[in-house]
Amino acid sequence: MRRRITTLTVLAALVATLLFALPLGFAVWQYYHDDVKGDLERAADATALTVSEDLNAGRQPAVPPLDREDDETGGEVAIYAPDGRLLAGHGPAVAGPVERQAAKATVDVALGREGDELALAVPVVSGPRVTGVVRAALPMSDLRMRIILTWLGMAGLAVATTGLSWLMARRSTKRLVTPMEELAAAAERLGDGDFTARSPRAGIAEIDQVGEALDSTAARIGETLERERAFSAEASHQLRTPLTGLRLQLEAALQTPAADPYAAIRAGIASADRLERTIDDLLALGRERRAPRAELDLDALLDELRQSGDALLAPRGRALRIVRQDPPPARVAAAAVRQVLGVLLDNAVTHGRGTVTVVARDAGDTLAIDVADEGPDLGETDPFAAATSGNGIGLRLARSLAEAEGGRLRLSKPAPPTFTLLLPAAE
Amino acid sequence: MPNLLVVEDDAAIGSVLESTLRLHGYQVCWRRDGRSALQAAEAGEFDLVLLDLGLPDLDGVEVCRRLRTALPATVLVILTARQEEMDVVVGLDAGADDYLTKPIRLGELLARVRAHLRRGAPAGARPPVTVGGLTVDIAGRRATLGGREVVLRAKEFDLLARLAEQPGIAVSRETLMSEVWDAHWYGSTKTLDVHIAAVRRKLASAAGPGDEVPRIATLRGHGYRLEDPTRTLAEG
Repeated sequence: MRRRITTLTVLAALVATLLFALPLGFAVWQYYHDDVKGDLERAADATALTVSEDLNAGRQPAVPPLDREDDETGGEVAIYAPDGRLLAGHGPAVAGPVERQAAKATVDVALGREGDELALAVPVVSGPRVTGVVRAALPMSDLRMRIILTWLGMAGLAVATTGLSWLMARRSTKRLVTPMEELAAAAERLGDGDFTARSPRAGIAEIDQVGEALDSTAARIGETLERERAFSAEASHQLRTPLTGLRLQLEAALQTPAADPYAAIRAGIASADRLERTIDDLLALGRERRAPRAELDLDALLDELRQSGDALLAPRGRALRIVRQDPPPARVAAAAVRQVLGVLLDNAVTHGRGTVTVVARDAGDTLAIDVADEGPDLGETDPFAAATSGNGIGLRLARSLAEAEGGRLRLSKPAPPTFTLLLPAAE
Repeated sequence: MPNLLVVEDDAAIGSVLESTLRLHGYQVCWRRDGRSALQAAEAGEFDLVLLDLGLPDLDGVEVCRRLRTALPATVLVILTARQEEMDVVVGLDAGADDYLTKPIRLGELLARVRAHLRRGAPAGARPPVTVGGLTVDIAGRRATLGGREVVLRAKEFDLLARLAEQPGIAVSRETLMSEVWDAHWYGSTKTLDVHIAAVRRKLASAAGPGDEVPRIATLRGHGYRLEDPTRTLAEG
């Protein structure tokens, strides 16, 4: 999960940088071309202006020194006769295609590549007559070097940006994933039967909510388990004594065939009655150990269910119907009931169809809450065993929670799928 | 001869139940697991089913629910070792009519079976009783609310008829248990609570707008009382 989030963030940064850098790179190339062209043109124009008098008079021209301003690029300037001879300056001995085009005087400026140079030529005219051509040129390698250097700078920045996004992704991933991993570890410990497992708080509301739910579940199931363990330890001890008595009575009767068997049978039944009373007492004791609960605020709970149900169902175009049929008051932990109903609602949203109906009713001094949807017939499938869909786990946990509260959760009808949560009513 | 289906996986208990019930003049079909019990229920007609909830192959409450679907008119009595009241309520909510907790006393079992198979008291020519919009025709074993029939199971009808005999008067749990179920047994009477809940639910769902629906009031620790809505209004 860490790698996935980090990779995703870095990829997003990379794509954004590329989308931005590619047109910019092209713009840089275009800009340098235009810049160099402008420089060459200025140099050629300045020279042409200076030498035009000499050329028009038929004198040998000399290349004037150029101002810094006109020669930022540092190209070389040459002057050619209309027939293509090199008159002065640095350049090829014979005029190239660019100079010949300029010599025709059909254009003001001619631009093109000559060998490894970018050449620009302007004609020097006297009336209709072309008296010479001024050529300014810059080696292509110079231009290329400048563009590549700029591109390298941009690439460097892109690498830095990506690196930064990687660092940031790693930091925030750690903040997000560490609590999730701790939560998963706590859940795993819970699954292994360690009900003292508690998940640490991360400071992220959504994750903490899950953690709290997990903790209260663990506490509840742990509490029940502890109670059951104590009960079975006590029970086996307490039951052994009357059982031994019963056994001895029967064995003694068997060894004395002369005695009245009916007396032994009656004594045996009396012992069985004692045994039964012991079981009743133990069961009563087990019930007493359950911590007393406040009365359940069913209305508040159903209102909450309505809100979360509407939020889940409305976007799917489905509805939630809550019906109250004289539900009796119950004395159970609201947190446990909330979670069980949450699991049932989630199950109806994910696996069910149509309207979800919640009915709170009286099942004979017992509060029953039915959650039904209009999904297909479940037939003989046991939704509590459907671990493959990942759904059974939630339902199984919900069932344990219901039982920890002294209640029961079961599929009461496969068609339409109806789950019923039964909770002990307040005495 | 009444036909009984016994579903019990324990060989010792099963054989005792089978022989004792035969001895008392019932025809008995004994099945040891849920699947074969369901097959038997589909093949034959039974007057009463004794169903143990702890079965080796299927969940007992699930078997109870399916038996109720397969045999809508049969009396379903569950046997359970789980004495937790909640398990009993789950079974009754799944369609059982009554329950017995293990260890079972044979005398009590036989009394319950007899009580369930005795379909209502001999009616004679008693006139129908009217409470508000509710009319209970004891001779015809029909209850109507505002002219519409309220569909009740046998014991639900007996219970409503008993309460309707004395509207406005509290009837104790003991009286109801002994007169409707023939049970002189004052332990946990979840059966009564579940049947009252069912009758209340059926009355409420059968009621139309404007019907004077009689209410069954719970008197904690004592019993129940059927209240005539018209009389309450007149007094108030």
